[in-house]
Amino acid sequence: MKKDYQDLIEKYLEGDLEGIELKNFEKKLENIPELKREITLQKEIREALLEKDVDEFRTKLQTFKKVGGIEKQKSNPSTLTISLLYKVAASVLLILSSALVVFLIFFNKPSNHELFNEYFIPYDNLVVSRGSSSENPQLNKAMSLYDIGKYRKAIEAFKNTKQENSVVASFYMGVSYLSIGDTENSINKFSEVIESDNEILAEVAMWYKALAMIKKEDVEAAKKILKQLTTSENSRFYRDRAESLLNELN
Amino acid sequence: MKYTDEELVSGIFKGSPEIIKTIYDDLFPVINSFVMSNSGSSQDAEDVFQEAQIILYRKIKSGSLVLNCTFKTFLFAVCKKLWLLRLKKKARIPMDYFEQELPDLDNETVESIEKNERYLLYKKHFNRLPESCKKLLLLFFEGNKMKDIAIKMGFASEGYARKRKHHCQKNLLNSIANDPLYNELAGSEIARKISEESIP
Repeated sequence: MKKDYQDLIEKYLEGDLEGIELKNFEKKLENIPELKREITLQKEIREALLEKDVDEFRTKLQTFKKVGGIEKQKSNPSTLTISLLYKVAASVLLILSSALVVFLIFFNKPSNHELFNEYFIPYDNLVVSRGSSSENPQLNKAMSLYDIGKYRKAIEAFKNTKQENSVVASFYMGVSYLSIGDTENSINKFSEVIESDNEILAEVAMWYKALAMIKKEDVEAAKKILKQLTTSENSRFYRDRAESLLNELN
Repeated sequence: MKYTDEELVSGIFKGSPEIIKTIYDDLFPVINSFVMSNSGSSQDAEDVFQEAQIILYRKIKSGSLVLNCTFKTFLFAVCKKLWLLRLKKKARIPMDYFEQELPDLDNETVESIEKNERYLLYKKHFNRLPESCKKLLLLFFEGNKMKDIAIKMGFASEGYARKRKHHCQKNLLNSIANDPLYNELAGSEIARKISEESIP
């Protein structure tokens, strides 16, 4: 089965299937449970491998564990060698990667367009939950369109979601607008989120708003937002990214 | 706890070292003793504690965390559920053996616990691939065009890049599909979905 469908599965995941091709494929999806399972698997693999912030958080928890707690592995010689090896490998890697960064900075001044493409990844769909589908059919419908990259249709669906989900909907609408290149509308949506009382999404929205500004070639506005992201008490993930993006803009 | 629940939640999201340390110092001992008294090691307890915080992080990030109890109770419930799930897979103990112990968690949270287990499994298999495959697949998943991937990887042609990608992806998919744990994890999800759908 896999061999026949792999190309279609990829097109579907990239959001490249349209019209009758999409309809036919969706029909197949309903009728062939294996295919559905395959799609879920491939989609989840992508998500799992692209969760850079989760990886970073996990590493942080791990280092903390080693520093902070638990008096185990007390000078067991073999684990000691291994951990030393790790440290050496890690430092070599660090040196190599900083050398690469320096190289890239000096020899490769990217355009705004390239910067945008480098930094922009549509935000993961973290909303859809199977359990609550009956409570929230509109939001779930919009999110699943968002999921497969059908941003225009997703935007329409987000417009119909309930008032209580408005911040979440605005946020994902903003990312959808940005994905299809409509910077004006995306900036408006992100501004709504930034002004809302959802502090966490507000911060993520600031990051995306800065990217939208870059896409709009309004670098000064982007820098202003990025500076705000680097100074206040923000998530390290966005703080670091804002810092590195700022460096590239300067 | 010297912090409020809101401070703990936002501390996890921000990766604040003070908050992480406080959570560790105050809550880990309880999880440790729970896991150790249920056929686990201290290492198991650490893993569970870590993954529970990652599950929480994802929920916070998506704005879907709703605390109906204290932060502490919620984190415990996630840890317990996760450990029982792992224990069940490891020792093949039927889940109803623990029924009375099972913490009360909403479906969405249970699903995110299972999803995290699947993600760990995917990463494990991905990490076993040859370096060149890992690099190529990441470039592809990040949305790079085949033409650019060929250049970045130093391949002679786009066609060859496509061929390599196909090969690497097939290896990854096969090794995941052949992992009995995957079938259990995916199986349990499907079974739960069916049972949910049959409830009107």
